Amino acid sequence: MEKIIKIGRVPLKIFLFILINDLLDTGAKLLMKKGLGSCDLNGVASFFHLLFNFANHDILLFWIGLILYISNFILWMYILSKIDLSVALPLAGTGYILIPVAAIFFLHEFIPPLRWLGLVLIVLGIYFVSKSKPSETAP
Amino acid sequence: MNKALILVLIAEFLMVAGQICFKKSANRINIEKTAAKPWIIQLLDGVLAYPLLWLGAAAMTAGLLFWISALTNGQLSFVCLLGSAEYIMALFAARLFLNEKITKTKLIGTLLITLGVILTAVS
Repeated sequence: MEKIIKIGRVPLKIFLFILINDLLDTGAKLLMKKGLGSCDLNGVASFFHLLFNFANHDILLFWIGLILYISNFILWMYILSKIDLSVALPLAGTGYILIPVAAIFFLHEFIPPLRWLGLVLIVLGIYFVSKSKPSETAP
Repeated sequence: MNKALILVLIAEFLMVAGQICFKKSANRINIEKTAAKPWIIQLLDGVLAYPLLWLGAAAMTAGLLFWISALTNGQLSFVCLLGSAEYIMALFAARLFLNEKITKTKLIGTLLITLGVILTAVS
């Protein structure tokens, strides 16, 4: 039988998928925000007009973001088909760590002590949640 | 501040409801390793035919709109602080609607993550 590497009781593959899901989610939201950012909005009609106004090249960013968002959803459904929702959701909280850690390494940002404590608690929490027993026999 | 509080709670409620619908749809997916149909087609077959998925997507979108209006009504850190309640809500909702057990380890882990998110939000 094939040996599956696990973090707690969660297969490493699923864990990595959750991380990718977090990253793509953030990326998609940033793209959508950037795509819409430079526009003035007044009312629903002007909003739809704006979305299909391809003369404005920024709006392409919005559409790329939206496509990314939808493909990410397919990944999320795959994750949910493998593990409990009450495990998947807290694990998706890993995103909270990725951003500050990236800020430390790439932006050399100062992290206040209280935030460090928060990060440690999240890591501990992820450890516990990943160790919890699944409620159904996963396929 | 009160307005933001109510908006966030509605947003959370809708988002958790959406996730419950997603999970119920995902439970129907049973991917088999057959070469006849690639896994992605199997996934889409199982998912798109299921009305709950669309209900979930609607709830999610509505939740997102409430979330955005909460953000325009309150401070980001305040909204994120309340946002951490989502994990606890999801824990109980999953127990009620999906029969997922609340084990001691899961409860401890979820509370730690919630506390951690609160600390990173306020600091």
